[in-house]
Amino acid sequence: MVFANLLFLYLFLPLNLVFYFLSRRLAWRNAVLIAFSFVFYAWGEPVWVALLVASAGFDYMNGRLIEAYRGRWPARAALVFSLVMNLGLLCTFKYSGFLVENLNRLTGLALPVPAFALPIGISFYTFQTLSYVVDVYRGDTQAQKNPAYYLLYLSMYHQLVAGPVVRYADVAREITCRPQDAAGFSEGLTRLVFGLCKKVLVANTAGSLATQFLDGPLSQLSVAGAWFGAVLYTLQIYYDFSGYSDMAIGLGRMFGFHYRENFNYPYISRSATEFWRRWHISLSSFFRDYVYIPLGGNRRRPYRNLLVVWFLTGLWHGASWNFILWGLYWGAFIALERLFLRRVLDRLPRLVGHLYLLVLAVCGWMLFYFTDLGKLGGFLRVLFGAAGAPLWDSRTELTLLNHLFWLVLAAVFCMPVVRRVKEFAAQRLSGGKLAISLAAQTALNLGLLALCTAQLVGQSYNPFLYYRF
Amino acid sequence: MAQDREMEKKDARRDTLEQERERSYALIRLKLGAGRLRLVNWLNILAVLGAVGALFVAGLLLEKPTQSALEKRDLAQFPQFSPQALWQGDYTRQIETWFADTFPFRDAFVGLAASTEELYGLRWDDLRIVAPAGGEQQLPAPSRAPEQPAPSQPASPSQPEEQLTSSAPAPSQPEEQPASSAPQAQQPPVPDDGGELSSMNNGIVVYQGRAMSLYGGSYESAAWYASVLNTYQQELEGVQVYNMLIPTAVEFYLPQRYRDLSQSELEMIGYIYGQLDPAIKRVDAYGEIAQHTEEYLYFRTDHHWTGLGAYYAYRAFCQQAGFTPLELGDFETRRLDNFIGTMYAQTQDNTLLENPDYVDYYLFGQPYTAQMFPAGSPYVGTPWNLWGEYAQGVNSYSVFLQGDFPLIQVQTSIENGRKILVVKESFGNAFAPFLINHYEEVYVVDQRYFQLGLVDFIREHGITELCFANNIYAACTPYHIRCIDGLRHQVYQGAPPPAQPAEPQPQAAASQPEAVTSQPEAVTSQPEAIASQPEATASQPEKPPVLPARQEGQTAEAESQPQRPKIKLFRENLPPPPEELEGQ
Repeated sequence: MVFANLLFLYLFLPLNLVFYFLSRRLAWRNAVLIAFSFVFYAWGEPVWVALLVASAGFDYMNGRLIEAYRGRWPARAALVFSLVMNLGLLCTFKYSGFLVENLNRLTGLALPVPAFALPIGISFYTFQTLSYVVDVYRGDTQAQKNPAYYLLYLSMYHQLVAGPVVRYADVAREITCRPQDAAGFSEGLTRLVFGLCKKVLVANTAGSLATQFLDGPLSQLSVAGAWFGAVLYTLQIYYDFSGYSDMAIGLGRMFGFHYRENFNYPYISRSATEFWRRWHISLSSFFRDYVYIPLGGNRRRPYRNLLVVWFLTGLWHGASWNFILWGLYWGAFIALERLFLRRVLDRLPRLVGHLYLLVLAVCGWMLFYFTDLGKLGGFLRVLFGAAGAPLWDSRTELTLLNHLFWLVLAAVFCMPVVRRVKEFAAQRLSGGKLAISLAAQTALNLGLLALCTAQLVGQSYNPFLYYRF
Repeated sequence: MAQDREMEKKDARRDTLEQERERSYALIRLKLGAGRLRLVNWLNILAVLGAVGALFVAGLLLEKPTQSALEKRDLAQFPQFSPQALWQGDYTRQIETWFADTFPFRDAFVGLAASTEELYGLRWDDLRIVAPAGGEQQLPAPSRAPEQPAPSQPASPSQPEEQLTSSAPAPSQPEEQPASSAPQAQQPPVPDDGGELSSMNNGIVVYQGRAMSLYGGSYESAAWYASVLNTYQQELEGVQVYNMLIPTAVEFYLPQRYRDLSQSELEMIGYIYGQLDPAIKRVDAYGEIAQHTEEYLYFRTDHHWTGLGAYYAYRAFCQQAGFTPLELGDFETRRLDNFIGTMYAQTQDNTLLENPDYVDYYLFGQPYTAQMFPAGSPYVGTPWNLWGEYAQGVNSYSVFLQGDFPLIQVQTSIENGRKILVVKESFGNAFAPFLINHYEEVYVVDQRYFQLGLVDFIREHGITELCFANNIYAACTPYHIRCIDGLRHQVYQGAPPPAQPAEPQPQAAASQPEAVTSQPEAVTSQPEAIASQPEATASQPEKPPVLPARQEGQTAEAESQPQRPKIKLFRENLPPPPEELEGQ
């Protein structure tokens, strides 16, 4: 199941809340959460719940073993065992087809290409459970004694299928002790509605517009159209992903959990390095803490380490060369910035840095978008005017003008407007005015929820196309 | 050390995000004080959860609708449970579709969504470009004959036989590419004919209260269309073949500055006419229509042409057929008001509502008797009226011929030995009736639904002229071309023709209606014969069934042994051709 879905909002969530808050004891509440998480996860493909439970049970055992034999060989064995199993599962399900395909191409063999269905969210929860085992091994956190609690952490539907990659240490305490108050619930609810808007009102619209430009025949694309499509996709992917994280964080707060932030207005960055400190923070910090620093970080062979990290980051996003290319692309610019570019950019006006990053991001997302490298090449030629495509066309013009206000708003809300307004209200307004502004916030929530619901219902609008004439 | 410091720095930076967040929440709590804090928070919780809860309860209690009038389709039903469907995820997906399709106050929410989208930007030069709504489309079943053609019963283009499953786009799977999965939801299935169609899906332009589909036809399809017509010409020696290609509104009413949005229909028509066998007469409907674009030739809210548009095409036809066309003054003009057509359903653009269409139709002095042969009953017809004057609302265009039917056969009092058969899609409905003023017999065949072999049919009925009337979208749409091609020698495999009159006798049928109505078993098909023909079932959606065309032996057999059931190819059993999805 996904959050931006009528069934989730108007059936699953109400039922979840009712059962959760009717339960008085925390143990019961946790049981309700696990049960609903299972339904949530099983909704699409029930079979993978077994894998999730097995994964949780396996690493619960490893955690206990590591703690029981701390400093001795069984602990080390459990760690290695966990790493091999988790990464093995991930490779099997996600990368085996890609590996065999490339092996075949390289060697001329004709091995049968395995085609496993990808269990939803496996990339996310594998990383979560890995981080737990490593943290226990390092002594950064205590092993969970109760397998049900570990299962709750791993299967929590808020972050299960699309992140953020929540670390066990961040929520360990809240599994067994989380005071719940109206204020937290209300804050979470508002955050949920905001995330929903990002996904439904911006990302979905941007997506349907972007495909009109990116998926059509390249021969009909103008240079402006190519840039327009690329910018729309850039908007879509940010609003989609950060909206999803907002909803996860909001849901967590409604149930008393405090997840870390996952996005921090990435498009206002002035360098690739800064961008990746603001984009999908839970993932980049995972790679930093569990790959980059163990490899030697900045001290030992930093450029090799960068190469490895960015290769893996690309690969994590999908089993296809374009994702690897995309990862290495970012890695290359981060390395260049480390070498000299950062110092150059720092001396130039701030605007140059912003433009540099935006162009970098937009082009990067095109690497991300086109899994077919041939199509990618054709598109990039149009984008940079090397294909002899016209500069401008009326379709781009009309689409742009027909969505002008929406576009401006989408661009503006990539900047920390909401945060500034909130800060201003919290710091400058008196108690009474603050109360009024929060009441206005409630009205806004209602209005936005209505708009989102309308859009979600509108997606089901499927007029019978009478085009057979 | 340096590394640790950097780590600390980074961690400090990371922490500030969450600390900042919590500080701002804490500050608000502090400033409000306990009383006001409780008030605003409970207000927020009760209001938002109240709204969610109200719709939750409404969803449980309200009766679930099963049809959508505006969308002209059956809404999804709650799925049948089966362990297999659950296991594969189909069951839950269908529940989601059902939930969305039957959401409380669905029409109001759909309207709200459409209205907000109109506010997203400027209507530059009065133009708005709308992507076609809906991902999946389906083949309309032939119009169902109204049980009794009472004035209150519109001949609704009935519910399609094959209900395509999910109307709601599949929910995006938020794996690691949360964004890239979203557009997939809107993508139609991959067309089997490759790229030829993506160019057809050009969207709709709304301009000054008129919605027009943007044209983008492929030349390969056009050449295919011409070659199919040429085959007819070759096989039907002695029969005069006409081809009339009908332009659409976008060709004449798109502002000059935005012409590049839509491909030239004139060029395409010229191209097809250039590919046709010289013996085929080309009807220049375009030329006649182009001279009268100030008049009301196309609907603003519907994709069809008006009766007047068809009238000018009729004049062009008369030029080729050697008749003197009748003048409008010779007809009795009647009108249906308040027509909001398919283009409104497609775009939901509110400006279309401000200026509803009307349908003018013309009644002739020429006496006629007609009968209609419904799907599944190609040999047994029912008396028919060429005008469905009861048509109303979104179905107003079906005033012409009462809608789309496999075959309508008209007998007039003219005795000139000329008999014409018109092969058409719905544009032809407005055109074909004019021909009864000049021919002894007129046969109107819908290329999508007709079930007999057309070449034999023409020979058996002594038909002297054959006219293909297609709009320029249909002429470039593989689905339509395949239909027309398949008609030539398809073999009807349902009930055999009634033994006594080996071929329909319109005269007799019209005069003796009880003979017509007393054969209900003729309508029923023979399911076991269907099962034995795997290619006739929809089991291979990628490949349309191979029509048994050109199988001379089989055709001969069909002639010699008319009683034996043959391969059944109900048009409506064809899998919906994917390219259609994009085509107009």
